[in-house]
Formats: sequence, C-alpha cells, structure tokens
Amino acid sequence: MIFFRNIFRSIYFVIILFFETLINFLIGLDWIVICPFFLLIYFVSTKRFDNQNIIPLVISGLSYDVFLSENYLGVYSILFLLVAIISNYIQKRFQSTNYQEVISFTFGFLIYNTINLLEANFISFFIPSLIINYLIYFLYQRTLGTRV
Amino acid sequence: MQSTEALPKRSYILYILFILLSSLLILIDYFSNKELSSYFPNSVNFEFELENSDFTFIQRFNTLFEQRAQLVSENIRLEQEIQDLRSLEIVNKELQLQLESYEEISTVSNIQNFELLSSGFITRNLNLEYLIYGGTNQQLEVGDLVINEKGFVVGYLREVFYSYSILESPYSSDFNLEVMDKYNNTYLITSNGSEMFISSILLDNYKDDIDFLYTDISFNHSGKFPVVDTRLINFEYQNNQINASVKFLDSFTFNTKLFIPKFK
Repeated sequence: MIFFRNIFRSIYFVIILFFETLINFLIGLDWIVICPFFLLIYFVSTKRFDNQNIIPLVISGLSYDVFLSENYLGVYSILFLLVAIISNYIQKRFQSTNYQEVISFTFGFLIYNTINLLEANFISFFIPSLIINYLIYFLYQRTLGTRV
Repeated sequence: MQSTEALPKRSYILYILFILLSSLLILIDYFSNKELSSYFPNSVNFEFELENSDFTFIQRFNTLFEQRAQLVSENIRLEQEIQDLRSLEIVNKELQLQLESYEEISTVSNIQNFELLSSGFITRNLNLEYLIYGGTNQQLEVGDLVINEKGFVVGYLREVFYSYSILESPYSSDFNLEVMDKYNNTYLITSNGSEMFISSILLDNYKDDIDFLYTDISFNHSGKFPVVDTRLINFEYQNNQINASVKFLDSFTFNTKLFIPKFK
C-alpha cells in the first residue's frame, strides 16, 4: 500500500513539475516564473511534513535531471530535498513571529532558484516571481480555508 | 516536551540520507561522463506513429508556436528599429545644433574660401590660457587664427599638440597680434589680461572711419578676419601715432563655438 501510495504521489509530483516547465515555456516571460511545484513542496513541507514525501521529491528531481536539465543526475533531487527541509526548519524556527510564513517562503523560494542565482538579472526576476507565487499560495490557502 | 522538540530534527535524518544518496548519484554521473543521466533520453524513443488527423492537430499546435515565435522575432526587430530611430534622432539634434552654429558664421564675407575646422574649449588654467580641441591631427599649426561664430578673431594658436592646442587669447598678457585697417595702416594689439591696447605701427593714410581692424595674409595670417570693432573706441591721435585701450566686454564661455579657418 505504501509502495503504491509512493508511486502515485511520485507521478503526481512529476506531472506538476512538468506542468511548471510547460506553463513557464508558454508564458515565455524572462522576468517571471510561476512555480506550482515549489508551492507543492512548500505546502507539503510546512503543512504535511512527512518522510513519505522523500521518494516523490527524489523521483521528481531525478526525472527533471534526466529529461529537462543539463545537470548531473541528482542535482535537482538535492535541491528539492533542501527546499523541503529548510522551509520546514525556518517555519518552525520563526513560529513565534508574525511573518514566519513570508520568511520561510522567501528562503525556500531562494533555494529553489539557487541554480539561477548567477544570472545577471536574478533580482529583477526573483522579486516579481516571489510576489506572484506567494500570492498564488496565499489565495490557495484562502480557498482551502473556506472549504474547511 | 523534549520528545516533541526532538521529533522534527529527527525527521530530517532521512531527508539528509537521501541528499547524500543523490550526491552519490552526482558523483557516479560525473565519473561516468554523464552516461547515467543520458541513458534514459537515449533509450526512450519519443517518436510515435501518428494518425493523419492527429498529425494535423499537432501541426496546428506547431503553427501556433511558429506564429508565436514569429511574433516574438518581429517584436525584437521592431524594438531594434525603435532603438535605431532614437539614436538617429539624437544624431539629428546634434547635427541641427551644429548647423545652427554654422549659420551665423556663413554670413561672414569670403568665408566660403575657407575650410572651417570646428573646435571648442576643453579647459583653462590660472593664467587664462585655454585648451581647445584640434591639433596636428587636423593639420593645425602654431599661429593659426581662431574665430568665433560671428567671424571675429578670438586668438591664435600658441602651441599645437596631437589632438589639442593652446589658444592665446586677449585675456592672456602675452597676447600680441598685428592687424591692419581698410586703408592699410598697421597696428599692434597687446593685452595686460584685463584690457586690450591698440597702438599704431605705421600710419600712411589714417582716416576716422576705419570701422574694423583685420588680420591679413601679409602678417602670415590665414586670411582677413575682423579682430576689433573700432566704431565705439576713442583713439588718441598724437604725433602721427594712435593709441587706444579697450576693456573686455564679454568673456568666453565653454559653449562658445570656435572655428579654425584654413584657406582651401
């Protein structure tokens, strides 16, 4: 059962990751990226942190490395796992502050985009992307809240 | 209490183990020269047998992408064109300004016989010596006259370097220039830095209506250009000798247009 759940979750993660690539390709803007996969990682690592997310994250990373990137196999797996750990850690560390979510989201998003860090226009692409993704996450949480 | 604090930290352990595992994969991939990461893309064939109708649909989809790509390239081309037009506009404005500066001097008589080398002030030192653009690279020589946009002589070149020269102007106490009036009487203009002194050298045919004092080719000048308007100057005539002193009315500014006339 756990095996099938992991397989199902991995497929679901990979689909969202590939959807992220497709949507950013279709939007075609240099200064903004929409990251549904990051939102997914952030959500599962802050709201539903669990060891069962490890295999789907690793498989997503490996499939991204195999099919969509020029990096060595495993780079994106490490990145996704780091995003999950650090988002969760910061969320817990700043639990007493009002802006814990913003801080952990920003750090998580920064790590998620570490590979683009050396690009010349990183700041001009990072800030709008951070705002738009946080807005999507915020709206998602609001809709989730009303449903509950 | 202690167990609830410790729980999240312990739950990271498995994550860290998988990070190490992924690092191992990176190492293997690195030492196998990316054989591991290229195994799947090389072995999986993404080309499918397609029905004709499916192909048409994909073709339409492709056309959509092609149109988008065309629009993007057209957009880039138009952007480039706008940039070119803007730079042309700047050049046009500069040329208009240059043209305006030439308009006034073009009214000076016989100016068409001269090639006018445009110049301008670079800086000046404490002795009121001016550094101006143009030098041996424009075939300028020591003694060449420098005129302003009204055609009046503002000085001559005292020293000429490769791309700049030193202008000896009436504001310098070393200034001295031989000039002539329209009746061929000759004069020497000198300066003490604040006033200009005009004294006659040879008066053969002196009359009151001399109007202007000119440079002349007989003094190795490049041409005949006005230096001083004498209509407002009171000359002292004594013993067949004329003397006058003129106070400077206006000084140079760095916007003053300068020309160095060269006989064609």
